Amino acid sequence: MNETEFNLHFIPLFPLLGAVFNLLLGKQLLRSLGDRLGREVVHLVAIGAIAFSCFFTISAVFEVMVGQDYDRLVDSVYPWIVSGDLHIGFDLVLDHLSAVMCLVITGVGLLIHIFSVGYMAKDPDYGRYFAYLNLFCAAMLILVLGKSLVLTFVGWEGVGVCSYLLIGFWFTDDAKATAGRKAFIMNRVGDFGFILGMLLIYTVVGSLDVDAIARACALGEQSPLVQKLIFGVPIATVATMLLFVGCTGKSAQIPLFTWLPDAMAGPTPVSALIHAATMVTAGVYLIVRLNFLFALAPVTMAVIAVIGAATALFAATIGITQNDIKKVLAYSTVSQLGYMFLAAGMGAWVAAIFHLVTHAFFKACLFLGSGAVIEACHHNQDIRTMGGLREKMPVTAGTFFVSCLAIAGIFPFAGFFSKDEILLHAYANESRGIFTPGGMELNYILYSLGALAALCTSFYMFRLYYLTFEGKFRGDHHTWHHYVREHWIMSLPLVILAGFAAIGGLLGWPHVFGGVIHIDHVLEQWLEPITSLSGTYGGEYTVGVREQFLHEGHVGSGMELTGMAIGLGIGIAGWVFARRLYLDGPSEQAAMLAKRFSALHAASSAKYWVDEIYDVLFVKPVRMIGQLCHQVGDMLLIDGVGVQGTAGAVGVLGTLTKAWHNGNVRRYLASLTFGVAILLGVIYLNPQVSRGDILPKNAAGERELAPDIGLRRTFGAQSVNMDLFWGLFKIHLPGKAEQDAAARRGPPGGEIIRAPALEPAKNPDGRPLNGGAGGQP
Amino acid sequence: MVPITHFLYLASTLFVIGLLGVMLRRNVLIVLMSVELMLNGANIALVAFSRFHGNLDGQVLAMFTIAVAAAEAAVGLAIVVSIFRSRTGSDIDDLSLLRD
Repeated sequence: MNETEFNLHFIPLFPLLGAVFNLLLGKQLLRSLGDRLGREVVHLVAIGAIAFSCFFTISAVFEVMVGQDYDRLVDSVYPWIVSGDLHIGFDLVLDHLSAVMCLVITGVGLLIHIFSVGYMAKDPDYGRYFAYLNLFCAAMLILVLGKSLVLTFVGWEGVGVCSYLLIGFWFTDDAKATAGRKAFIMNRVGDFGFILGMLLIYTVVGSLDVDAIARACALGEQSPLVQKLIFGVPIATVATMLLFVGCTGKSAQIPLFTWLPDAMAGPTPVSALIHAATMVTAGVYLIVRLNFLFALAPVTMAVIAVIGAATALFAATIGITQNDIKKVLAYSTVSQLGYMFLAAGMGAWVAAIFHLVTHAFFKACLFLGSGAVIEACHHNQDIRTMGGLREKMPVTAGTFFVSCLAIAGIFPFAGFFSKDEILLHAYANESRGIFTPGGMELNYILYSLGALAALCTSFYMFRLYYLTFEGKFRGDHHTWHHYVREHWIMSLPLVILAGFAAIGGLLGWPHVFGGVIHIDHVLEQWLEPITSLSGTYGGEYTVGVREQFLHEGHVGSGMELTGMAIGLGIGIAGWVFARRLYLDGPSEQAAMLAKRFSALHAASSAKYWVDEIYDVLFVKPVRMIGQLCHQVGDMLLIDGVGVQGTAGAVGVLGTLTKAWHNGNVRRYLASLTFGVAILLGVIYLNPQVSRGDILPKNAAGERELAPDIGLRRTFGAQSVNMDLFWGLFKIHLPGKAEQDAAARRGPPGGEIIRAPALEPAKNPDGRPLNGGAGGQP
Repeated sequence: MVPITHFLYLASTLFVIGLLGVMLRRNVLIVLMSVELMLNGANIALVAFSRFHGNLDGQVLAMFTIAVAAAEAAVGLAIVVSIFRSRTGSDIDDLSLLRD
C-alpha cells in the first residue's frame, strides 16, 4: 500500500478552532454585538469551520483518486507518546475507508450545521451549541483519521464527551441531564471493553498501529493472534470480543442500547448528526477498519451477526408502538445499526459501509424533518396530536416521504440497495460451520430476523409518516394556526439529504442488474484495498459470501433477484399495511389490533421493560454499593476516622500539653535543664559508657576522654565531683577489677597526665596539627 | 602547669551558678546577668580547650560569643528599660504575654 504526505491535520483542526472560538467568545458576541449580529458571527464561524473541513476532505479524496502510485494519504503530525518500546505518533491517515467516513461526517455535518441555524435560532446558548457541534466533528474526524488505535480511542472518547454535552445541552431540565449521564456511563461500560481489547492486541503485536496489526494478521492462521491462546481461546477472538463490547456501547447494540432512545433529549439536529449519522456508526467503522483482525475470529463474527440481527428486530418491534416522533426514529436507528452489524458479522464489510452511508443520508433527513415538525408544532413531539402537516410544510413532508421510501427499502431509493445487499449476504454467507441447535445453518435464521425487521421498519416508518403528515390535524387550534413556517435554511439541508437518500443507491449498484443497466459497484471497488487482506485467508478463516452468489452469470443471480423481490415485497407490504391503518389518523382497526395482541402491544410500548430490568439488575445495586461506600468509606472512614480523627487527636494532645506552654521563662529553662540531665543520664548510665569502654586509648593503652590533651576520665576516690554526679544516677558500678586497675595506675586520677609526645598535638601519622603552626599552650 | 580539669571545674561552676540564677531569680536584671555568667562559663571552657588543643578555634568562638553577648545585653537591657516604663515591676514571672 503506497502512500504520500498530505496536510490532513487541517481536516479536524478547523472544527477544533471553531469550537475554541465559540466556547471562548460565543456568549460575549451575543452580548456585545447584539443578538442578531452576534448569532451571525457565531454560526458563520461554525459553518465556515466545518465547510473548510469539508473542502479539505474533498480535495484530499481527489488526491487519492487521481494519485497513480499511491492510494492513501498520511500526515505524521508529531510523535505523541514515546515510552520505551511504545511509540504512538499523532499520525493521521486517509485511506479509502476513512475517506468515505470523512465525506459523510463533513458533508452531513455541514448540512446539519446549516439546519441548526434555523432550529436553534432562539436559543440563548447559541455559541455553546455550535462550539459543541464543532468539537464533535473534530473528535469524530480524529476517530476516523487516526492511524493508531490509541488515536481512534481519543476520538472515540471525544465524541462520547460531546454526545454527553449535547444530550444534556438543556441541563437545567433534570431529565435531560440524566439522559446525558446515562449515555456517558453506558458508553464507559463499552469503552472498558475497548481498552482491554486494545491492550490485549498490544501484548501480542507490540504496537497499536493499524498497519502493524494488519501485518500481524497477514499470516492468517499462522498469525500469533490466532496461535496464542488465552484461557484456551485464541487471542484474536478474545480481543475482538472486547472491542465489540466497545462497539455495542458506542453503536447502541444489545445489551447497551438503552441510552440511545434517551439521548433524544438533546436538540434534534444533534440527534441527526451524532445519534443517527455519525457517532453511533463508529462501532461499524471500527470493525471494518480492523476487518482483517475480526476475520480471524469466526466466533466473534457469529456473535456480532447474531447481536446485530437480534438488535435490528428487537428495536424495530419497539419502534412500532412509540408515540414520540423522535423515539420512533431513535429505535429505528438502533435497528438500522443492527443491520450494519449483521453485515459486519457476515464479513460483508462493503455492505456494512454502504448501509452506513445510505443510512446517514436518510436518517439525517428524517431526524432533521422531525426537527422541523417539532419546531413547527411548538416543541410538541407526540404524533398522536399531529396529522395533516403536509398542508403546512410541503417540503418537509416530501423529503420525509422520500426518506421513508429509502429506509423502507423501496426500489430505487438508497435503502433498497444497501438493505438488500445485507440481507443477501445474510442469506448467502457461509456460516463457517456454526449451526444452531436445531441443525439449521445460522445464516438462514439471521436472514429471517433481518427480513422480519425490514417489515417492521417499513411499517413503523410509514405509520410515523401518515400520523404526522396525513389525515386531519389532531392538536389544538392555536398550534395549527400559529405553526412556525418552513424556512429555507431548514428546508435546504432536507432537500439535499433527501436527494442523496434517493440516489445514494447508485454507489452500490448490484452486479445482477448488470445485464440491464451496467453501473460498477462503486463502493466495492473503492473499498477493495481495505477489505482485500481478510479475503486472502484460507480455510476456516475465509470471510465473505459464496462466490457464485455475487457475480452475474452464476447460478446465484436468480436467487439474488428473488431476494430483491422478497425485500421489495416486504417493504411494500409494510407500507400498505401502515397506510391502511393510519392514513386518516389512528384507525379503529389499529386500536382493535392493539387490543387483540394486547400483551405484545404492552411489551412493545413499554420497550420490553429493559430499562426497568436494568434498573433492578444494575442501577439499584450499584447505587446501593455507592451508598455503602458513601456511608462507610467516605463518611465513616475518610471523614470520620481520617480527617476528624486526626484533628481530634491533635486537639486532645494540644489540650494535654498546653498547660506546659504557660509563658513562664523560668519554668521553660527548668524543663530544658531537666531534659538535658535526663539525656546525660541515659548516656552515662549505659554500662559501656560508664565503664569507659568506648573511650579512645592513649599511647600508654589507657582510656582517656581526649588523649591528645591528656584529659583522663576521672574515676575513683579522688574525683569527688564526678563521683557526686555518678552517685546521683549511676546504677552500674565499676567492677572490682576495674577499680584495682585504677589503683594500679598509680597517682590518683583527676590530673593531667602529660604524655611526652603530646607537647605539640599531632595527628596519628605524626604530622603536627594545623600544619605545625598550632599555638603553644 | 594547671591541668585542664581545673579550668573545667571553674567553667562548670560558673555555668551552674548562672543556670541557677536564671531559674531561681525573678528580677529581670538578675536573670540577664545570670545569662552572662552562663555564657562566660562556656567561654572559659572554650578557651581552655583551645589552649590545650594548641589551636585557636575555641578562642575565635569565644570572641564571637562575647560579641553576641554584648549585643544581647544591649537589646536585653533596652527591653528591660521599656518594660520598666510600661509596667510597674520587673518580675519575669509577670512577663508571659507571648504565651498566647
